[in-house]
Amino acid sequence: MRKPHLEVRDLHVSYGQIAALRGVSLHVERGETVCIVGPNGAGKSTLLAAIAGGVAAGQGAVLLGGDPVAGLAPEAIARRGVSLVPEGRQIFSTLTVTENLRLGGFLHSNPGTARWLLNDLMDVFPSLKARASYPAGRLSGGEQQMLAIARAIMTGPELILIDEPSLGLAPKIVDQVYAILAEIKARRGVTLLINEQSSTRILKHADRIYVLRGGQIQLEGRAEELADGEAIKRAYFGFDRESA
Amino acid sequence: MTQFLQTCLDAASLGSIFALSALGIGLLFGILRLANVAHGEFISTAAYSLIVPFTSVAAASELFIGKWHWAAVIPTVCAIVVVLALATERFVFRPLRSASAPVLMMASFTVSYILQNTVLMVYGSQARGVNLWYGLTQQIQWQGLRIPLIQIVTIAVTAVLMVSLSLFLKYSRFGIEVRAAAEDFRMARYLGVKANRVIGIAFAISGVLAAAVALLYLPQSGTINYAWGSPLALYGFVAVVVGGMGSLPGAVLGGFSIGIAITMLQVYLPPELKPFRDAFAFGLVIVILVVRPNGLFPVKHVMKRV
Amino acid sequence: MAVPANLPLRAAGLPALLIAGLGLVTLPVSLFAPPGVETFWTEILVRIILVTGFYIFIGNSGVFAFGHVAFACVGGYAAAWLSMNPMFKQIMLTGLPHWVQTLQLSPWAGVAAAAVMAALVALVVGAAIVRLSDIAASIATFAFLVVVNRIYSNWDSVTGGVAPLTNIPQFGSIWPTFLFAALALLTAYLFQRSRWGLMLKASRDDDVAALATGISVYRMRLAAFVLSAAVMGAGGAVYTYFLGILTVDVFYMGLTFLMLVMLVVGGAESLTGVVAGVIAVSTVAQILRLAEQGVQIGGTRLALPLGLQEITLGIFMVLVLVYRSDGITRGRELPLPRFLKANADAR
Repeated sequence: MRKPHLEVRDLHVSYGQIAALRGVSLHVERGETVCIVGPNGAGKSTLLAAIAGGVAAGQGAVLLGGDPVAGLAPEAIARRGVSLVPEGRQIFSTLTVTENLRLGGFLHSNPGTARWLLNDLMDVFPSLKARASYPAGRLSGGEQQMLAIARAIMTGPELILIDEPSLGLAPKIVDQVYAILAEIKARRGVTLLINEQSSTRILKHADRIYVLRGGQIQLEGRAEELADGEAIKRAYFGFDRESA
Repeated sequence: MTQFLQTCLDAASLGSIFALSALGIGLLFGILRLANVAHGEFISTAAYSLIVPFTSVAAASELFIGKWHWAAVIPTVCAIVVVLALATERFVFRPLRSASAPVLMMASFTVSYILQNTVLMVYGSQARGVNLWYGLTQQIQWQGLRIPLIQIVTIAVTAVLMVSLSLFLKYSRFGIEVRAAAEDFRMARYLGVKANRVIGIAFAISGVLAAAVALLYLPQSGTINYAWGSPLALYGFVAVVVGGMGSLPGAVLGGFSIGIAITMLQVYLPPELKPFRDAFAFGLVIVILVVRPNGLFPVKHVMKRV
Repeated sequence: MAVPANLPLRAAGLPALLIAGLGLVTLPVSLFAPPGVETFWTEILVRIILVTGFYIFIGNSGVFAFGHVAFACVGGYAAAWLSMNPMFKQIMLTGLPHWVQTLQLSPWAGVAAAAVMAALVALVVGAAIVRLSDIAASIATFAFLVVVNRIYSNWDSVTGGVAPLTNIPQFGSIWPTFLFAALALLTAYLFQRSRWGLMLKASRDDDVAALATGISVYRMRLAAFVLSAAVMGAGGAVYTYFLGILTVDVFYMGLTFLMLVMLVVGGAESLTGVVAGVIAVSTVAQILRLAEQGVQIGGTRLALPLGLQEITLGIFMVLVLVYRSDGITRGRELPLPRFLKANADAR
């Protein structure tokens, strides 16, 4: 049997006294688009950061293609084909657009690969090409989100983790972001794991959905089964438990 | 007028020294939030490496590395300090990577204490006269000005170092990694930037800058003692704060401002207040931290860092 | 947390235990010990006062202040100004006001005055500095230490500059020093059990929660700053009366470092840690100092090279920072025996 691309088993993370994740388990198959939906403070960002090595797991395992990676440094996990687009973009505002992208490409052993990727991405993101030598801090919010995604792709990932790509963006821009993600997926065949607060848009794009609340998975299902949104709503707000 | 030009030259040369010192401190602060008190001991070590260890005091100490041709002295001294800086990183600051900024400062205080006492143990507590590059202390007569050659050399070397450092930071792969790490270390690591390498490079550059400060300032001061580097680093600190902590251009500007301020205070302060020159400088640090915490020359992105 | 803030004395089990422990050592030392041992123990008691001063601010606010030795310097000179032999003052310290020059107070009054003077300086400086957070506060307090040192080393007519001041009366007994150490521990304890102390400690973990209680973190921090400065000032004065001689460089980087080592080694978050840290570090330092002096074996003298004491201390500090950053007490207080626990509000 083929091992899942990403598997998380019974993951616990806490910040001092406060538990952010309390036994999260999930799996993502190669080539899938999986979305984690949950309210503010559910632990979504912590989950992605823990997978990428940015926060230490207290307990549990993270497996990439069957290999345990929990405890590795973020730069080591990046070398295993995982790239994170964090919440709030976190672009390097004093670096130019090109420098932001080049930074993502440094982990290729062959500089030619990075150069080719850079040129390729400039074609996918014409707005970035036009501002290539601008300090990234001067881009608009939508452009910054595009840059953060492009920068993540520069590392040549097989799995991209995207934390709230629609945060703070106008609906029209969010459509563009998702169109770009779909295009990248079609061209490069990557696996996507996306966090969102709201499920309405994601139902169209995701293969499967997890609902995370209070640091635990409340619901898992295929997007088409959950299409009416009722089950998600119950898990999201926790009506399920209290009425049962 | 001649007097004023002379003062300006003094200010520029002293400012160069402080700017180099501030750059070494500011670089580490930007990346690690490390206020490295031990930078002064990096400078002292560079100076002491020039003379013979384990000798009793002599008015003019026998030169060791300092006797060599300058083309050999410079790389050797730089290498010694770089090795020292990398060793402190490896054995003290790397195990403390996740510690808070004040704990890091405490640790650097400890490193400074260990190094200072090592110098005491090896070279003794008395001041040593060091005749490095005697030729540089001579003066050139020009338009009624008497210009010590070393001042010209200091300003020129500083200019060259700064231009090459900024070219390195601007265009090289390591430069981009270092600048990214200074802005957001964690994000840089998510993109595969190796923390140990970036920090190692920053410590190495910091060590080279400390060696430069020592080699440029030594011919002017002529004598060294075990705490020789401390004031140079302390003024570097002042410069870093004045320039807005974490900003490298700010550190350079801060260094020159402090150099100018100190020289002017020395010349124009009434004689009875002159001894309190340093007290004014450090009082200024407190005032700036309280009133303008982002320094006198704020750069936008560093606002959140302090 | 139920706090009998109105009944502080009933809750004083912990300092009572610490003070009793120190007293139990002081008694035989004062009666039987050779002068060398008495000096060693007196120095420990002085250091307990000073480290307690550091602790009152750092331990409660969590802000690493590097400049508190400056207050000991202020206190030490205040003591010298008030108690030095007037004849010498009129010769050496010509800049002092005439009424100070002719004054000769007892060491007891000198310690009290030193505490008040340090507190006043702290009120002015602290009003600006305690606003700062984290690393900015650390650097500002460090700068303050440099400022005070530069002023006191250069204001020759008032401080004698870097020259030592002599003819300062001494206590002549170990007991006054013990008394002040006990007083410092008690002060620190009462503050940390007080409403302000507890809330300040809470604010360290959670600024928002502290704000919600309605007391400004700023005012609580300032209170801790001034109180700790007063204890430092008193400590500086006691130190001066212990030595009988005063030089400005005693109160600078070296002492700062030693005090911080003791605080960190003991555990910066408990009063027990203060006492444990001072005793542990002083003992290690003393053993190394004796080793530097060497032992006579037959005709040869075996001794460690000079300076090794400080280097070993530094390496020890690095190891504690890396492997045990909460100190040998791990931030806990001494467990109280049962009979004291009955009416003590144990942590």
